[in-house]
Amino acid sequence: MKTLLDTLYNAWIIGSKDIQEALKNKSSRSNIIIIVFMVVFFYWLSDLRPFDKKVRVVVYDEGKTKLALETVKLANGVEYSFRPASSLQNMEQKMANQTLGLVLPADFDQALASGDTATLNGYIFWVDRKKVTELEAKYSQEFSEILNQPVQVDIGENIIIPQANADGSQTNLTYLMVYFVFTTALLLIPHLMLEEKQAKTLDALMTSPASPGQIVLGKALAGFFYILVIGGLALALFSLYIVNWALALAAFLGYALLAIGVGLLVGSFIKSMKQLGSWMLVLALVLMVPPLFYMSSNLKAGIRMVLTWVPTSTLASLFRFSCTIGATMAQILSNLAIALASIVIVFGLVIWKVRRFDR
Amino acid sequence: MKAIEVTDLTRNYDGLKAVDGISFSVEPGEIFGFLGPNGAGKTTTIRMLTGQLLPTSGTAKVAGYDIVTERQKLKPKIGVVFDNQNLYERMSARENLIFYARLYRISKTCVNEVLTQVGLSERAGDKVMKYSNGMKQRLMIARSLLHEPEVLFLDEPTRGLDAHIARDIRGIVANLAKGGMTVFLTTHYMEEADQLSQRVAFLDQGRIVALDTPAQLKADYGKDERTTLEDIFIQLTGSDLRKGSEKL
Repeated sequence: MKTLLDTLYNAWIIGSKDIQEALKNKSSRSNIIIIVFMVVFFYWLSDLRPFDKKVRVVVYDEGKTKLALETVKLANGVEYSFRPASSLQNMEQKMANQTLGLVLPADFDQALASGDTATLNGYIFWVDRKKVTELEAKYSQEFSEILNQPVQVDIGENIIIPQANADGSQTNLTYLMVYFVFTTALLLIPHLMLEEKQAKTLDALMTSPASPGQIVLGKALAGFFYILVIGGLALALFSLYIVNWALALAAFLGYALLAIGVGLLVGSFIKSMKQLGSWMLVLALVLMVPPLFYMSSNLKAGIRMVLTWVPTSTLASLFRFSCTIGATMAQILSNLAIALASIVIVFGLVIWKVRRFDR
Repeated sequence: MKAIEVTDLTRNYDGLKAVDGISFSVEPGEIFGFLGPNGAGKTTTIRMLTGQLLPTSGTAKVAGYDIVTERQKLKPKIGVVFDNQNLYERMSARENLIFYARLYRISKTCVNEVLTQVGLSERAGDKVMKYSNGMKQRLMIARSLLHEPEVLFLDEPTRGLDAHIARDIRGIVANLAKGGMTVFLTTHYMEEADQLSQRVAFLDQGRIVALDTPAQLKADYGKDERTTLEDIFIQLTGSDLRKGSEKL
């Protein structure tokens, strides 16, 4: 117990020193600010959709009405386009990357003909669940304009949570999380080790009471701080996407540990900033591109099988499961196992490398 | 118990013997000069004795602890002043020392004491990057003294410093030895070794070629009373260097 407390205390001392030093370093501060800016920018893009003046609607017509809904542009510049769906289930499936699902009731023609307020059932994605009232008002007003008579769009509890492995905005968010966490890791974490080696302060640390394992753990804590700041901000901003918080946090922790391990591994092996630049590009490709393909629903089975073994792909899958429903326990556990094994291997390599500084 | 006890210590790098079967011992409270030309194996020996580098063969004990099997126990017993100024430059001198004090579980009052001891109290809040070489060297000594080690390793502590600062540092080292600390000193300055060390060892191509008190070495190898330690050093070491210069 005393040994464990000693280890944690020494790691904390080393980690807090690294954070203190990084905050005094202009380059580290700039990198943190740039990544935080990126997180906020992507949130702004996804939440406010400032350039999105298009509402894509999937329509399920229960009664085969005579209404022909064609692309229409309203006076306020908003453009509505429509895709038909053969059933309610088909409508839900087609809603990936669409804005609104709309059910035209069987008596819709009669309601229109009577001139009374016609009621439509609207379906929205779970990320918009806090905006139900606002969206009901907006769609009611705009559909009234499209149909030239009063229309009420009721959304109520019609919130669609995507199925596991479905394409859609949850896939985009998952990729953004990979991007934020690994960009942070590659830009900041290798310096924790590289600077100690270049300044030869690692020699002094190695003659202090801190063991190689404690030094690595201290660096990992400092790395975790960076990722917690940036990844935590992203999680908080994009929290409406998450359905299963336990899974989201497990995936985030996995992202963080793998990213920290990779960052420290790079820092342990390379000897100069120049080398770091070259390696960063290669690692960015190796770590960040596979999840992009892996999450595509059109991927060939053979390639998918290969990418299953890339830890960033499995972690991305786990995170996407947390934004969806329907993932099986077997899917979750298999992804978790691959991610954990990768993390153990990466940290094992870092400790092995640091221990070999005495060879 | 000897402060340092080395038996047949060897270290190879890619088949080349950087340190070749050296044996010696250092008494507690002694200043031991370890002298040799560049590349003779001085720093490699210090790195092995301080647990930074594993020996290829041989054994050594420092402060009673084996340098291979008892490294973690050895660490609190030794202080090291490295041959390069390895300090956290963006942090102040005080912050540097507080960091190490926490690792050694030492109170912050000790930090102020060592800062006073090396004459850095007034500039303790300045970032190390603003320090002169001499101030950095003092800070390195302060860091090595924080935990009151039994054995202090000084790897060329006055290299590149002006005469005044070098003299100050020699004064600090002499005072430490008076206080009972064992000092293992490597230096290029023979006068410094002569002035400070009770005994010196000359290292050449990884081997100890002479080991005794400066006075005895002068008596054994000197031609007359004007012979200096430097004369003997040149006589006993650097044969390869001399051969090279003769060819030129």
